[in-house]
Amino acid sequence: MELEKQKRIAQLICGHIAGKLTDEDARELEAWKNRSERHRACLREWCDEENQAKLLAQINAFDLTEGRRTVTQRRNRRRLRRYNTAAAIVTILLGSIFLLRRPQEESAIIPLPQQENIEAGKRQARLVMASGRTVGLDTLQQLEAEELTVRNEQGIFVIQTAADTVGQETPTYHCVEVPAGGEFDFRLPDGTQVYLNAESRLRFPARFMPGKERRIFLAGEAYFNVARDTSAPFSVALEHTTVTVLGTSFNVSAYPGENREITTLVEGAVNIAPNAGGCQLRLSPGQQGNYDATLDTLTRQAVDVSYYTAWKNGVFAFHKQPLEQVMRTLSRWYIFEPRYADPALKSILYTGKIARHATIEEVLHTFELLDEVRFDIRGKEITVSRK
Amino acid sequence: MKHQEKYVYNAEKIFTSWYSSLCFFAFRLIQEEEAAKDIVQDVFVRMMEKKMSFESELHLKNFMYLSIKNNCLNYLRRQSAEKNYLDNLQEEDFMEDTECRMVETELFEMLQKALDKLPRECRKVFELCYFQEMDNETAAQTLGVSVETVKAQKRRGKQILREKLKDFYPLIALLFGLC
Repeated sequence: MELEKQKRIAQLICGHIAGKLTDEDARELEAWKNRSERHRACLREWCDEENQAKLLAQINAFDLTEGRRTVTQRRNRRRLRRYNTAAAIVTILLGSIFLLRRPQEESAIIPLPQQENIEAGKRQARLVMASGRTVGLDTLQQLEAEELTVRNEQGIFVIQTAADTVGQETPTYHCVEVPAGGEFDFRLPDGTQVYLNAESRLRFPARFMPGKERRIFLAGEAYFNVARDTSAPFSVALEHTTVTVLGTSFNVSAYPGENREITTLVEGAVNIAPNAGGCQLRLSPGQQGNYDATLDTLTRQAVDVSYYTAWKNGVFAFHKQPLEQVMRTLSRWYIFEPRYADPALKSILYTGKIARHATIEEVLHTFELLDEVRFDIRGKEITVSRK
Repeated sequence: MKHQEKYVYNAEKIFTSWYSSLCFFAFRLIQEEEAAKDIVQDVFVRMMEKKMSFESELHLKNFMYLSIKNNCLNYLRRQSAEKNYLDNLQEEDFMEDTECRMVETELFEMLQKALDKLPRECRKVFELCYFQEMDNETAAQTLGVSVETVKAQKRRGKQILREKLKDFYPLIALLFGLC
């Protein structure tokens, strides 16, 4: 068959490059070469060293991980088409459950295959309303319910107070949740722009009462561009501290497992107050407030804010971060369990920037090139060990 | 009685071994990266869905080459501006091209495998200098070594590559003696 012949020629060319061809084989290759100009050009191309270098540059052009993912997706799409319409409709309604990577949902009718690979995160979130009703946000176009409307205005998700909520005393609270491997940005009813990072939850009222404090609750990490309203201060309530602003841009990082709440101010003015009372801290642009829950201390320092806000622009930025922290941040986006062969490795410091859309292999590869650690991926576990 | 041994293949292993080189094959035929990946992925999906059976690995690979070649030809026909077909000369060209392209693709795959055998330091340098197309100075800085070291690793790597490529050339030993 054809492949047999061509493979033989390729083998002969390898022998030729290595300078090891037998006389008989050399004659065979020569005969092939002389059959056409194209054959001659082919041989010339592959035996030229500079050209070999150019060919090498193409080796990474076709990313294996991306290819595998697309092939899997296409196979799934084929499977979904085989089910009848009714099932398909139910799938759309329950879509929000599938979009979150929680394989144990009992109401899953058409289970998506378990992704064995570790993949980069993507834009995804769900809206959990006061009634408990849950809606997936990333594919949503429009929603009207319970004092709220949500609209997708050219890619920007705008949450607004429903028109018919006049004269109601207390607003209802709703929650936007971003799972691990997700990120999402949207606008609150007052026009404040929020970027929510992976594994984060933001609770907010359907309606901000005019002239009263705009109070929201956060667990995880978010970046805010607060709409200016001098009559109604905007406050973010965390577990231990509350951050209050008038109109400003700042980043808050308060992941429950990390025992600290960090506020980084880009622009404007911010006030941080411990919920249990005590000394408050005022920040100026370029400053960071750090509340340590284990020590119960609130401290302030000047920082390069770009490291703490880069995530919302699609970049991981680490500045002298211990490897343990780096891995924890990566695990929220890529979803994996970090393990350490040697606990001392946890405190190696890293400084650098990486694109969030990079594959986990690319990220770890960069780290491996620069330092004395190696990473082994096994299923959903990544083990860090000494080289 | 004919003894037919069925060849059993592992789809995932096949995909990992052949995906890049088959994309290289398609790309060389149609000169478009995205469309090339598309065609190759399509062929893999169909191969996996139909669970076809083949006599050997070579037969399977031959089938994949054939499918990709046909899809590429159809793609080029669709792309051909005014008409929806290629004239005789273009089709002939395409066919002759394919022969060489298959040789090159097999070589590309052999090169990849040889590359995987490079020692770690060489591989790092190759990765930066050739795959990421960095110049010697930038690569030296990134790795924290001297420019001389980068150049030396490049030389060493090329030499080892040549040696490893030799492994793909089968020397058929003639057996004398008792049969």
